Amino acid sequence: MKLGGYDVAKVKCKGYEIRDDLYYDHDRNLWVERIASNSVRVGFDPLGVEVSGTLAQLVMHPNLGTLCRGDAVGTLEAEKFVGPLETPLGGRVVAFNEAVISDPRRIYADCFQAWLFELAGVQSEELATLVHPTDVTKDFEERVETYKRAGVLSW
Amino acid sequence: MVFGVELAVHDFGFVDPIDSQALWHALVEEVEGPTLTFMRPNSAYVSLGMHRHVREIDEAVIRMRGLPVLRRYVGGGPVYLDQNQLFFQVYLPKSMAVGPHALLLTRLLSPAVSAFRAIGVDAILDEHGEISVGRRKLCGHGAGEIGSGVVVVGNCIESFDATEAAGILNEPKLVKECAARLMARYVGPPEPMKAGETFTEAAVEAYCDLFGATTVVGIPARAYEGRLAEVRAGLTDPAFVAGNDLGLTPPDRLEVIKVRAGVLLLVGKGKDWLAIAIIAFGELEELTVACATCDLVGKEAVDFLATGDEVGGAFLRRLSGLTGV
Repeated sequence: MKLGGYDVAKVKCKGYEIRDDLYYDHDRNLWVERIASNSVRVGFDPLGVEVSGTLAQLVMHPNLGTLCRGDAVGTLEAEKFVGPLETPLGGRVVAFNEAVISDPRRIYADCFQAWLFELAGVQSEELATLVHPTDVTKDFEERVETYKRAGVLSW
Repeated sequence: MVFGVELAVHDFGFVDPIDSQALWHALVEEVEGPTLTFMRPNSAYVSLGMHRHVREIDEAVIRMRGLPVLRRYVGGGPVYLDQNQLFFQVYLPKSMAVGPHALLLTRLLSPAVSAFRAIGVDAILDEHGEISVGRRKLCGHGAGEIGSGVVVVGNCIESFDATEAAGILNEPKLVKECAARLMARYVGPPEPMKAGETFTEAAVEAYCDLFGATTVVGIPARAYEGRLAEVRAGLTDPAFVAGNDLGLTPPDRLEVIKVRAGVLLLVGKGKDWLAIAIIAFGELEELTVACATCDLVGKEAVDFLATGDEVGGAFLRRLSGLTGV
């Protein structure tokens, strides 16, 4: 896979393709990519895409100040269910991916290309609380198994 | 989804339109376990889904009819609600609502089917996620995670005024007529019905089964009264109703109007033409183009759109995406 002109490897895990060079938010099914020392890019991981259902709307809140981890960056609607899109880390939202907001279906084509927002002012200590790239495969397998046990994934 | 012991239940009876929204918006953040409520608006009003633009509704018509407009914190489109619809709401604290939203919605809506069956309707939760009989949708629904709680809302449609419901849409007369025709065919029971206590009792029993509850308890007024005034003010705040701070996108020259899951109207508005496609369960039923000098159907309409302006091309691409043709 090419991303920003570079080859990015994906690994197979429990029937999904995931990137093992990113951080992940275990609870929110989001990937987090460090793009500068204190800046990250955030998107849905394949499990997040699978369990969200068919995204109909993705609306980002305007005029966001400095956020704490878990604060809502926006709202999303899938199958008439509206819920918050929460940030996996504290910081300031400095960019939204307008192409994805205007057409959330882009997430289904490649969720690693279809980033959602970028955060600046991220604390390294907080980044360290996410699933580290070295643990990605193990964590992803655990999440898939958890969803299967809960009857969320039918296969 | 087995929690056990108690299901909190309350039937609010007839309430003002604002309270038919404010009561459940106030309760959802207060519930401590599985909760089920019922209510019925004492007059008609218009409700906008959380992400829907106010320009989707015909404000002139709505003002003329004196209908209040309220935005809800759950999904779905602009809808016409009236006293012939019994509302029900199912709540859980967020900590109990584990799993993806789509699945939660299905699980929390499923027991309502038993209530429809109890009043003599052969209802099912169909493959499109609607409670229906035949191809007619019997129940509008939406859901949301609001603060510390999750709520699924639905309504038992006892009878449905398709003309009134289509009339609130901000669309040309031709589109409203087409929407009314489809709503008459696909929304509401084939014959008017009454929900009443049979419906609510069956719903309570079915939700007790879902949650493993063996006891039904009431909901004290203190559980919602403290927040009610604040919630009423928030829901009627003109800026919130208008969606000023929600970052919503206004309707485009190409729109999809959903009549029920699987039944859509694709509407294209060119400079001097109007195209309407009726799509039912993936099949194109009808395609018409109306302009000052023409009234085209079928292949002639396709040819017109294909050789016309940019909106015509976009209309055909979208139509192809919706029908696979």
